[in-house]
Amino acid sequence: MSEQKINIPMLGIFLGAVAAVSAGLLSGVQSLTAPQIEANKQAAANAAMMQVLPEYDNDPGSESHVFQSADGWDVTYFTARKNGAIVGYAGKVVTPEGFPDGDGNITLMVGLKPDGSIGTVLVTASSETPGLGTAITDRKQQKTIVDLLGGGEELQGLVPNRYLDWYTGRTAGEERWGITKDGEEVNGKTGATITSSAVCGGVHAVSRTAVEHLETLSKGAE
Amino acid sequence: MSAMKEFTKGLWKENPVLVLLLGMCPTLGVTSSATNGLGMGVATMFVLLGSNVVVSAIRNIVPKKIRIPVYIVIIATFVTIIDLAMQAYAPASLYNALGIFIPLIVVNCVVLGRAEAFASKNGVGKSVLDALGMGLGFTLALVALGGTREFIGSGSLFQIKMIPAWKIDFMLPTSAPGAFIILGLFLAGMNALNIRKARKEGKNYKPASMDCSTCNICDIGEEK
Repeated sequence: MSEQKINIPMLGIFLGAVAAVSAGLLSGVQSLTAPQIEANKQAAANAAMMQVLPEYDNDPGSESHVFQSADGWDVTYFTARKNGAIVGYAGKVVTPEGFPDGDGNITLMVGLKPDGSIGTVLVTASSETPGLGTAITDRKQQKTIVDLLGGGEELQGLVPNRYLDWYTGRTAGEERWGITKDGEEVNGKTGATITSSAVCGGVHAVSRTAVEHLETLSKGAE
Repeated sequence: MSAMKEFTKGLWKENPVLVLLLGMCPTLGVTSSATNGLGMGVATMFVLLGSNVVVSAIRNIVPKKIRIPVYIVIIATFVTIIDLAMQAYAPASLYNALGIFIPLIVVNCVVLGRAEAFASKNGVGKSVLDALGMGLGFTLALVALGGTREFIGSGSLFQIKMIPAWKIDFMLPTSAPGAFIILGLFLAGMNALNIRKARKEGKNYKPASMDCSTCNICDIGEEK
């Protein structure tokens, strides 16, 4: 059929038919997978929340407040309750100051005590250089062959990260913390200054904004 | 060619990555670990299988003038299906790592290349074997490349530390320049093996390059 007359409307109809069939197929697949994808997103968000909050029995996702921090970032707070009493908040913020060049996004989930002081800090998304920036953001435990063969200890809970654990117990004041070497403690890493200060700014925004709006937060949603 | 040969040619003789040098974008982009290589390979194999079957089934009714847009629509459909399926059922860490490269399977030359060069000229059965062989060859190459990069970089394989004492990651192999270097070494090794094999048989081996005598992606070479 190589030298047949070109029938342009026919070609258009054929291409349209192929596209229609595939569109139909895709809408079917989409409606099949959509609930599962939504559930996965919810589960991922909840998993991070569970790690930074103390034990709770409500659904923090259903009780949330959004406030603007001093830097103009939206900070979302999820309230965790046990037997009706507030046991803590999980503050989520996306700081745009991360690597590379101070304009990569770093997503932080920060656990707060009811008084607004910082509990556990967790980085849920970033685009850091493996090994350098991720030394600050990662709490990943690597399985080793020894663990597999049954020689290692069972891995449990969050892996300590001294850059992130620096914030635990602190409450943000007016000013941001500097990237400091505080006796034995450090919250910054040489060679990863951008990441260090971005995480620092993000954690500060979550804690500071919480302190400013603590009254509204503690009242809870109506 | 016998049926078995249609399957095995993709594994070594016409390996899409290591011989035909197709699909370099995902090859270099996602193979920072063995797991990512495996995920990408299996995803591509699924797309390849789907597109080869459909393209070969409709090969006699597709007008020649618009065959490429039709193939692209078919391939894009399968890619979107696997994209949605992976979002729903694959581990989140794998989906996040492959990220942008899943939609980019649409423009992977391996898939379009097999549709145009093979499936549009052969029956469904042969096309299935071709897709499986090429897909498996692609997957094996990606896993080998990813495993090598991961092991040299951090001493682990499939995210499991093989050398527990290895604490600080070596970043070159897992970054983009390292991908080029290690792929280059792979190609050199492949040529060395083939030359040795040819010498043993008393033949003169000419390394596969981008010339038309060794490539059958398009039919320019055949017309000569």
